[in-house]
Amino acid sequence: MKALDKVRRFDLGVALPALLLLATGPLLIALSGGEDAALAPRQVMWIVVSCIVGIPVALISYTRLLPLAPLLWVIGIGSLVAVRLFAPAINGARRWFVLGGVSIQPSEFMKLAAILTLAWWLRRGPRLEEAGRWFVVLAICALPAGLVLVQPDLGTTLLFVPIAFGALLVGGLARGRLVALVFALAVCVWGGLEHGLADYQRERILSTFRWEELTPAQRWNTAYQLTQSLARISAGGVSGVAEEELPPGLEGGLPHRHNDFIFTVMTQRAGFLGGVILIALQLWLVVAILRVAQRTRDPGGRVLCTGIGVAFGAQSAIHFAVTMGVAPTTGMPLPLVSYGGSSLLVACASLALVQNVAMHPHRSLDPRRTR
Amino acid sequence: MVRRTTTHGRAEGTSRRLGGLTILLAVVSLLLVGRLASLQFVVRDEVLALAERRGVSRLELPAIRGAVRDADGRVLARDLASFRVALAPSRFRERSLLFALADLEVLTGRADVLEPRAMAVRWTEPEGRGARLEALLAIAASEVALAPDELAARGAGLLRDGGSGRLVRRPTELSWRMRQLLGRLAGDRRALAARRLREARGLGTSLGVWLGVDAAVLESRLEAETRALVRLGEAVGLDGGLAGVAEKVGESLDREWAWIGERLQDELHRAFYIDAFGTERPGPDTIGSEAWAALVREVGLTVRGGAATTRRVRDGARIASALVAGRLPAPHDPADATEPDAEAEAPSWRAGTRRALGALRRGRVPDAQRQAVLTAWFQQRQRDDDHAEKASLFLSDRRRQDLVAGLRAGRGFDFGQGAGTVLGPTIWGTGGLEELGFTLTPCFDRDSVLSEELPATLRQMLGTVGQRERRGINGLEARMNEVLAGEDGEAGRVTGGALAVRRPARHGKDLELGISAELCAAFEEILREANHVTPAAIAVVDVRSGAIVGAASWPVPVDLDQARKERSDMEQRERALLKVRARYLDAGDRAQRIAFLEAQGTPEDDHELMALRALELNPTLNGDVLRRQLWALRYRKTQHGGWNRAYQNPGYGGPGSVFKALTILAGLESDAGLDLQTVFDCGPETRKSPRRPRHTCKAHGPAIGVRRALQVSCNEYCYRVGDVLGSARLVQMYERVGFFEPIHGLLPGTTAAMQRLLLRTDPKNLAIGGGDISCVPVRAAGIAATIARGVRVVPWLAVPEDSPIGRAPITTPDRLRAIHEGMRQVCEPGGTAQNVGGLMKLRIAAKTGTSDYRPRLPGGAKGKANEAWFVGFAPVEAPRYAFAALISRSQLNGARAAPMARDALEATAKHFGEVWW
Repeated sequence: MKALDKVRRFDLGVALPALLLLATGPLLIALSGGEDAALAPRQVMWIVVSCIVGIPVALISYTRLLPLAPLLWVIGIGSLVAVRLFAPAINGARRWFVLGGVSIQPSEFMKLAAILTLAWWLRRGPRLEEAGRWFVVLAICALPAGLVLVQPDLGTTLLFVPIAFGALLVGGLARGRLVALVFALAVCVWGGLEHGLADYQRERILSTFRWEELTPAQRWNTAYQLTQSLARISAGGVSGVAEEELPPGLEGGLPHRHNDFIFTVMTQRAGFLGGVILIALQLWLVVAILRVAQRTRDPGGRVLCTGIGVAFGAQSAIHFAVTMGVAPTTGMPLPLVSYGGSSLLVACASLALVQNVAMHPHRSLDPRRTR
Repeated sequence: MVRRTTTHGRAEGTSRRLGGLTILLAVVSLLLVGRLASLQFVVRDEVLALAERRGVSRLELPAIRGAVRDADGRVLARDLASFRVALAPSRFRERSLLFALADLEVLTGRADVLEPRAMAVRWTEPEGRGARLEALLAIAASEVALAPDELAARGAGLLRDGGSGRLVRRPTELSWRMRQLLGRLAGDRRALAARRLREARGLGTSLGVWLGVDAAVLESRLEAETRALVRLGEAVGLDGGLAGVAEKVGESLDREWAWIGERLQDELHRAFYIDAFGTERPGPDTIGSEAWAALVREVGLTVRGGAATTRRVRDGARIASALVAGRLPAPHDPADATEPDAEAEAPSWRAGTRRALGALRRGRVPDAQRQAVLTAWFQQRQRDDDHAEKASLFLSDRRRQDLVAGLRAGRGFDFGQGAGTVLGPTIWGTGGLEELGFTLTPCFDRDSVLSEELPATLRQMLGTVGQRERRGINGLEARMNEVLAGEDGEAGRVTGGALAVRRPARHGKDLELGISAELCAAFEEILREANHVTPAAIAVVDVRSGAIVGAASWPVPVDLDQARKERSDMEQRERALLKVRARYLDAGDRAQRIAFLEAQGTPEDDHELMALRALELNPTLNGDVLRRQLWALRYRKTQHGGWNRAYQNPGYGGPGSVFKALTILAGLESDAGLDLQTVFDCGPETRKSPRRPRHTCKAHGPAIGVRRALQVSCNEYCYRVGDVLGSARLVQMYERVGFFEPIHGLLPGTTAAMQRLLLRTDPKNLAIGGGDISCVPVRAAGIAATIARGVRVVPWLAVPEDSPIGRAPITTPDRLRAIHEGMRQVCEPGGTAQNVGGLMKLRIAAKTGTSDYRPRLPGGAKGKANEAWFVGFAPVEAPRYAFAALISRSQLNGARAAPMARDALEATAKHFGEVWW
């Protein structure tokens, strides 16, 4: 009966958009053209693997998993240090371990580990008013964020900010402190832009925000990817165009379109409608995750779902914004859609955890409630 | 209870926060959808245009400007393929180049090192930027024509103060390449001589064989010359002169090269173009736009006279390579082309090539292999580092300064289109210049050589070729620009795709002129032989077509800058003469002054000294003599104003009595009661002129009719006619004969304002061609043609769209005959041109004209000068040519211009093979 109850509580609101997005991924990769198209079967394989991994994660109660979170966090931190020290440099960055031909990106796993750790830390309910507790929340996110930043991977680093913000939001941090934190964050961002960025990063940021002012030559030089992406999105029109129908100068010219610019592929091939559908699916998924967070009575589960929802939302928004020239170009895959084994595995595991929370809505680690 | 409420409240707060978060995400999603819509619908075209700009490399297909041909079919102006050359500092891969050049400027003591002439290209196929820079510096050094020793010494001077020998600049402050150069030059003299010898041997062997020249003869000739020069150098003990000897050998080699080059070009012409395109002169019209675009792409555009031809060795190689690779559309099957002969590719390429080319010359090589052999040969030639060529770019001082300033400020500099003309024939390929940081844009340019060969009068009619525009910026070329210019086309190539002509160039139309360059030259010669002190001009118009068949002006229109300098010189001389004349009245004073000036070492061409000596030689240089001298000076000044008096009027006198024919014609055509039988008493008592009360009519007859009035050019008669008619009717007649019409390709029509001015002129004055009316020879010849033919004939330089010949007769045949007879009698005894030899026999009908002009002299007095005209047509019975001869600002009468007209007519008849003469 217990198993039947669990199945009954399975949240279709989360599963349906997730499945649609998962199905879209290989399709778009296949449509992205060139050598990237050949990655579609591998993506299908990763989907299968991720689903297989997701099943036990969804079924084993998260309350049993949460105590392992600190350990996972420590392992994650260790892997980030190791990747910095031992991983080969690919495109100037040390982000991946290559094991047997498979690239593993520890920072993707670290995101989930951080969310789990936050959920574990805040499992006893909103006590952030207590001195220092909210500071620990920041530390849980800041340390991995710092390690990811030095890889360097600015995009993933930025994701730790909304994760921490989500945790603090549902963790009950007072509004005043939240505002103060946002202000401090803005100062940090400004400082980082001024002093903490490499030249290419600064140039990339500036070229995004000043794209309109750039000369055509500069657009095709310093803002190449962005210009390609914008041109392809524009070419898509209402119903999309095939690769062969693209205006001259765009053929085969967008690097990383199977992961960092998958939305561009969607809008190019399926046009405005396709783009809106993809945005809507992502929004649906995130809202559904946040609904699960709202429904659960367990503070840990709530923090977990909120963290995952916020991470999904932020990642999607950044991906969309990057491809459309609203945010600086950074490597940010679209969850469940972009090519990438690590990303997909972590996304599926995260959704499995959300389902886990949905299927165990009354569970609580709070001794006062379980007692 | 309280606790539960608190928990519930907190849960609600969290829920609200999550709700807020959801709304935030929804808003962000909406914003993203908005941005997507903006990209796909609002700014779509702009972004896509950007993509297209990148994706399609545009190639401008320059339109070939139409050629201008004269009546004999001789090309007067045409386009040559050339390049627009610009120097963009950003393209210099090495910034230190500019600094190195600045060093060189100091080193050589010349301020024009940065001038491209000094940067003439003698590169040796630079492989890297270092080689490129070194080559450039070597070029600059060689161009400043300094011996290596001297250069090295000056290099030391860069570092040390000349007087004290104190180190003023550390060696490290010199660019390292400069130091390298200095060191290399100092020890490179023998190597240079040895290289020259090798060059001589190599050239004789390889080229001689192929060109059918006896190799041994050529080789021995070059080598003997080289050795002789070396011996000469050694004999005079010129150790340091060895480099100079080598230079001389180089010069002789250059001469040989020029000769060889000509032969080479002819061979290339046939070998490549006929094989490739089936025509000797491929152009858009003969091979089609697509093939043309391909040619442009592959060769970098080497076009001459509207069709491609090989002018440079490297282009030959490029074409050959393109043909072999099948990149050029060719009538023959590209598959026939085989790989280059292995033998020709061998390191000892000269020996191999010699055999291959020998076989080729003897016709033993199939066409396809022939292509391959030639390709290999040219590729090797390209690689041979001995082959260098200079490129010279000549800039004015101001442009040079602009260039230097531009470079120093890091700005670009556009040499303009003209540079390419100079570059074109003298440089082998353009890759080197591009390597040096220049940008080259293919274009077309006016063939300046052609215009230099033209008679000056005709050249001036065509228009001055602008420095920047490189086409006639005034004159015919400017007026007919719309016809000549055409419209540039555009080709585009999608990245990695084929070149496609998007818009073919619309080439300008050729312009056929009625004028003959040869005849113009003959006229100029006539004027030169006439040797008039004052300006003169001739124009001849074909009566049947209205074409201006020949025109000339003397002195020939000259360069305006030169004219300005000479005018200034004249003015100084004039001032000096007046000053000397006023100050040193006594001969003793003048002698003393001359002695003083000579003692001072005053130059011989000093104006004061020259004036004093003139007075010494001619003490009567007073009064009339001085005035004549001054006038001579003034006349000479006006000779150099760039005026072409055949069709330009500097604003002196009018047509004078020439227009009496029109006055009489107007009188006959009017309803004022004048007819062929009307006679006037032109005795002394009938002087009507208010302006000339003391005038005495030449006719002195009691009954002067139309013919007699024309014959003797009776002023009195014309006063009376003018008085009766009024200005309006006279102006009407001028209009009727086409006097106000534009001369197509040469002159605009007379403005309405000028016509109004004529209407206000005293009719008596107007009737004798005076007042505000002015005329030029081409117009006067046009009027003569009109009178000759009886219908309006508007002269033209370029064929007009509307017929220049009117349909309505200007008068009745009997009246016309009377005018003709009157004009015929001008050259007969009793006529105003009766004394001019030979005219009577030549069946010429003409009218003399002498219009007064009273210019103001220095000091306020009025001078006296005439415009002497002789205008008419021949032969009288069947008019063929109308003419106008003018001696301007002389003291002569119209009859004195008649011999010029006679000679011009004779030359015209001879030129066109006419038998009536």
